[in-house]
Amino acid sequence: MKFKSTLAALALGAAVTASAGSAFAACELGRTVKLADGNWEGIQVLNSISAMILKSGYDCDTEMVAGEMVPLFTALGKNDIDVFLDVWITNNQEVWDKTAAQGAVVLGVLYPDATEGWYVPRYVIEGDKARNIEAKAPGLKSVADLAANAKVFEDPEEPGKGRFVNCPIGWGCEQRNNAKVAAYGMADAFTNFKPGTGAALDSAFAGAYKKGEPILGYYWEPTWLLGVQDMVKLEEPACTDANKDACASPLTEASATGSAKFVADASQVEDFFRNFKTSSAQVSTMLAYLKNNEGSTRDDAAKDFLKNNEETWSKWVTPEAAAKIKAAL
Amino acid sequence: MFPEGFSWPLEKWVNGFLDWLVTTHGHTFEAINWGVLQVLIRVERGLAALPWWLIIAIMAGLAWHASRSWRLPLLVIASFLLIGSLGLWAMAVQSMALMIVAVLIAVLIGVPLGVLMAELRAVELVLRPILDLMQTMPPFVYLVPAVMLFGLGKVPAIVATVIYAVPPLVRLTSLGIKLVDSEVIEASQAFGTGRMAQLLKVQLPLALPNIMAGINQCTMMALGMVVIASMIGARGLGEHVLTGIQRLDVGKAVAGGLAIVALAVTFDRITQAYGQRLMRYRQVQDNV
Repeated sequence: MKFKSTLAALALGAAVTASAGSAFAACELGRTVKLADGNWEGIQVLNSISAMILKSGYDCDTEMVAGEMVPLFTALGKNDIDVFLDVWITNNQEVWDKTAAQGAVVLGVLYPDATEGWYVPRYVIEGDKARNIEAKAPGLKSVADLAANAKVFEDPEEPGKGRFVNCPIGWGCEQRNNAKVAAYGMADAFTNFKPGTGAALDSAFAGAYKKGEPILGYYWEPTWLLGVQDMVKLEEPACTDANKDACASPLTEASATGSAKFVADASQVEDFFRNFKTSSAQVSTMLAYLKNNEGSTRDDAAKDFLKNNEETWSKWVTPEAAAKIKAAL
Repeated sequence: MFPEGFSWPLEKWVNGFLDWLVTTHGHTFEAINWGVLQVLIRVERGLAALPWWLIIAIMAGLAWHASRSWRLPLLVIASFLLIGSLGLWAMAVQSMALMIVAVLIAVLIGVPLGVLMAELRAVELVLRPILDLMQTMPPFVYLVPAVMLFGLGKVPAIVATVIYAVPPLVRLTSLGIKLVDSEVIEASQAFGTGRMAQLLKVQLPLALPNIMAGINQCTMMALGMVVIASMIGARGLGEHVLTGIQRLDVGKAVAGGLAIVALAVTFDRITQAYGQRLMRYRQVQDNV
């Protein structure tokens, strides 16, 4: 009985704040919205974008709750956090299932096309007149064309062979790529080069791109590197039941997730997060902004995105909110 | 808190400089890369073409020549048999080639610099802080930019190894030249020895024990660099250790590590033995 009356009091309280909220054009939740703030740059810029939209469009204050992945999921399940963006559910299925069992829900797909693959700079295929680079492999489209183009990606340490820059040893992708090198008929024409560390992989791509040299290697997105450099992902054969290893890696969805309490409390703000739809390329551009502009903060990157992509974000919000956000910018 | 206004944009300068270097002089570095690689590939292929027993025989012969005793050759043979029995022969040969080329370049740079440093006060004043910097800067700081300039692989590894290993050689060479007895030099001048002859025939020979100690230090540091160099894709024993660590295969890492120790002990003892022999010669000369 006592429990019920507490509930009733809570409901009454909520009703009072809600009505007070509408009277003063304040946040519909009547409290700050808590965003899970993971330790990777992608989620941080997306959170900053959300905070700016919520503040100027919906008069909601936000709080960034920093933490590691698993504690943040726990907090989401316990309603200590309202929204957790940039969640790669397939990569964290087990912990997500536990969180969902506590009432957390997927609000929507933030971007559907996070992926990994084998990349070459666009100038290798199309050339670049502005930089005076000729197209060295004009016919290159898919991994099947690589064996014929081995010379373009010559390994200086093993003249006559091409070089495929794999993942550093010990990363999951290294083994997948080993299988692909064999299956794509490249084992004889290419060296399967392991760069040792992620930093070495990055700087191999960055160095080659700045010099305008050809390079073939593994990378993934969204990442700042693919936001800064114009790279082409080579086509790979589709996976079949018979061939599950040496085939195109599936696109991974990054989701926006919300706690049970958030879904119960919010309506317009919830709609915003349900409509929050960007792409891997756009997220790469946000990360590239941070990389290109020394000393810039996540908020700068968010502002840059909002300024340059009105046609994208105006679809996420109500027309009134869109007008307010535009005015605030 | 340190006052914020008191700052200078070092990071920006370094990034800008590196950017400029890669964009405008990238092809120069490619050419250097190519040149060093030709030497390295030849050394590597040459070593790989030798049968394993011949390499052991040559090293044991060197050990005997250096020490004139049977104990050092036995140690060398045991070390190489250990490497072979761990199944790491080919990788050890790759690492040895990398180390030999790095030490060769280090000697070509280090000994002349050491001589200049001993002879000219101005050179010493400039060089000393640079050597301090080279010796204490964490190698990873210049390893990654080296990849941007030279591409992935062995050449940036050699460049980083030379940066890391050359300072003790420069310092010990300089010390050796300075320690040459001034009376000896006066005597040689009294006989009308020219400046160049004095350097080549008096100072350098007398400084040889110290230079040898420098080469010994240089070799040890180059071998130590083998593992770090694997982080930018230099193949060899370091890659074996790195694979072991990154896959949490401790046994593999230990096997690779032991092989590096075996190589290090071999080269350390041989270069030290040569240094001691030179020292003995000098003592004999002194006594005469």
